Amino acid sequence: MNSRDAILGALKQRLRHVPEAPLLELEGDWVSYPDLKEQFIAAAGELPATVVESLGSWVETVEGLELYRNSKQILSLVEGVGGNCAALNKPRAAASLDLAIARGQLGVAESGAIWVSGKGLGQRSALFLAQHLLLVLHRTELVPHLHAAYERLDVTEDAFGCFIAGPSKTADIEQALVVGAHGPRSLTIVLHD
Amino acid sequence: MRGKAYIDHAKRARPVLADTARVTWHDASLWAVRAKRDKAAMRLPEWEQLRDLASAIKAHTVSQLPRYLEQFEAAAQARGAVVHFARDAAEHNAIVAGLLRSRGVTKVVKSKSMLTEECGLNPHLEALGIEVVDTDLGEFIVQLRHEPPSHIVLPAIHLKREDVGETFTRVLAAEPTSDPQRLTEFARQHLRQKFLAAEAAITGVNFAIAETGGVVVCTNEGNADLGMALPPLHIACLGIEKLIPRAQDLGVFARLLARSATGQAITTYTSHIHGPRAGQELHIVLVDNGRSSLLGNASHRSALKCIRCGACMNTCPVYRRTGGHSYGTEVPGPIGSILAPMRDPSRHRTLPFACTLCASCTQVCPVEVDLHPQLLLLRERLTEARLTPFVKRFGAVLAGWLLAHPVLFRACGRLGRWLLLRLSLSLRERLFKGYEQGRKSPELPAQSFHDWYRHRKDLP
Repeated sequence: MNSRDAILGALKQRLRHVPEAPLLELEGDWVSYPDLKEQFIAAAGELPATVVESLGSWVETVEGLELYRNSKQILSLVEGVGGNCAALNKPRAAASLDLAIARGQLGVAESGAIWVSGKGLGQRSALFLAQHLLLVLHRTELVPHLHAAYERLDVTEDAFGCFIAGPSKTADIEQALVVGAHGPRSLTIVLHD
Repeated sequence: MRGKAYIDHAKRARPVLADTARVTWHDASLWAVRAKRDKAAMRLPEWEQLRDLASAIKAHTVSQLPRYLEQFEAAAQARGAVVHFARDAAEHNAIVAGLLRSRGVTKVVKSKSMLTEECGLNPHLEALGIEVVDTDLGEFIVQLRHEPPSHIVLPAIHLKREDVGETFTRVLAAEPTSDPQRLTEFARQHLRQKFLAAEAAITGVNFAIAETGGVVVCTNEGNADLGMALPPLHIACLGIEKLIPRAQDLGVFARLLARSATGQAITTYTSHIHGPRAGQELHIVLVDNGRSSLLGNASHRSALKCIRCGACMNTCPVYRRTGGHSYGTEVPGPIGSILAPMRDPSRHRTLPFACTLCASCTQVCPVEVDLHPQLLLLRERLTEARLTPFVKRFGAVLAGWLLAHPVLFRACGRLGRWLLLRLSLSLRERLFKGYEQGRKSPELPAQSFHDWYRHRKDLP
């Protein structure tokens, strides 16, 4: 008998007299925030991420940032903002990127996390190999908590989708927080209309 | 005591406890993580509701595990993943090694997976000439030191910054420093080269979604993602109990996991993988290794709800003071003291006794595993199996007999008090030396409560 059948058989045999434990409704008194944007900005700040609110043209806001102006190699995965290098033809090519710019589809106020779908992203390696990451997000795409997020998202629309909550970080050495472990050293979020 | 070699937690802990300054520091470090967890939990008024839900979802999944495994397998295959089943650690190692060797892989990057630690994957692959680099910073550090991790979430919590600096300088010729920022930068540069040169990535899985066939991997460092985004082969290894029914259930678990583990609202990266990247192979290895046995045990089935957050070990006073290495198993602390003895009662017979039954673990567990009742039950089972010291078992039988004969018990008490009062102090100290390590003996009363009560004059 192959291992799959052996394991499934053993499990079925042992569960023969075990009743199905009930699956409860996913409801509860979930936390709510009077001002989603304010909560999102506060939570994102703790990550630590820098949040920039764009009131006019968000493209101008992005291109006006010191981070953008000082970066040598920029890959933009967002229409409207220009990068200065061509789309990546293979994952490792992202290693020389100073800045990667991508669009988030949804922001979660309780944690400052942003959902980035792999759809239309090209090489996802850019999100992790670039020295700095900038995410652009519509102000209206904010939800209070993860339950609301999962209700809106289709996590299967692409092979990859990720909640990104801040720059890469670690506290593995004596619990001292170090920002910029293996992934990006910083996260900038541009919130726009 | 019965035969084979076994791991004695108390014996291993003795040299650790002798360094009181270090023990105090380790204790405070872990307690600080527990405190962060409390702060994060208290910010959510619905915290207890989330725990109830998580417990119910996991209990339901475990009770229907074969159905969900079949559903997961079909859904994952439909998305282009290859799904393997492994009965035990040896089979898991053989499957992973087979995949790597058949593709000529010699350079592997690995992100945190307690399952692969449980199976002893690294030594198995290294013996075959395959380089496996643990990329989680904490695991990278202990790998360089040839030590196992001492905590499932904070692998290097037992080390001071000077220890890390010394290791990096000695093994990798790093410039001497003990500054965490500079040490992390050094590791970043070193591991970046490993990620770029890697031919395969091995990751763990935090949650496997039955309905969609997806696997979810949570990290703060992004090391798992670098592994999954670069090389052409991704092998995801998980125990069969890591399944959850639907994507929406992640709302509950992702809200509980990081808060319970480190006090963060969410890990930096919560990656959802539904099939391989273009030009990549994705292999998922589902491992039993004693889980189906555990599932068949009504008293301990709920231990399969565990989401490996580490909250129980952060709060456990014994773990905080003795450290993970005293346990001799890849998952230490309260949950480890159930899982390891269930897998191998003889080898891990002392673990359920590495416990004060304070119940703090049960209070913090996000999925409401009844940890301390299970630990107590395991003590009974181990005693029945005669895997406890003879002196303890005989002593309990003797005490039971004596307590059942009140006249004899009182006479022994009288004789004992008479004798002890007449012993010299130095002789008493020698007699009670073992008992008085870390304890103060109570004052000897002149008479028993029974005698006092019988002769009382002032009570009605």
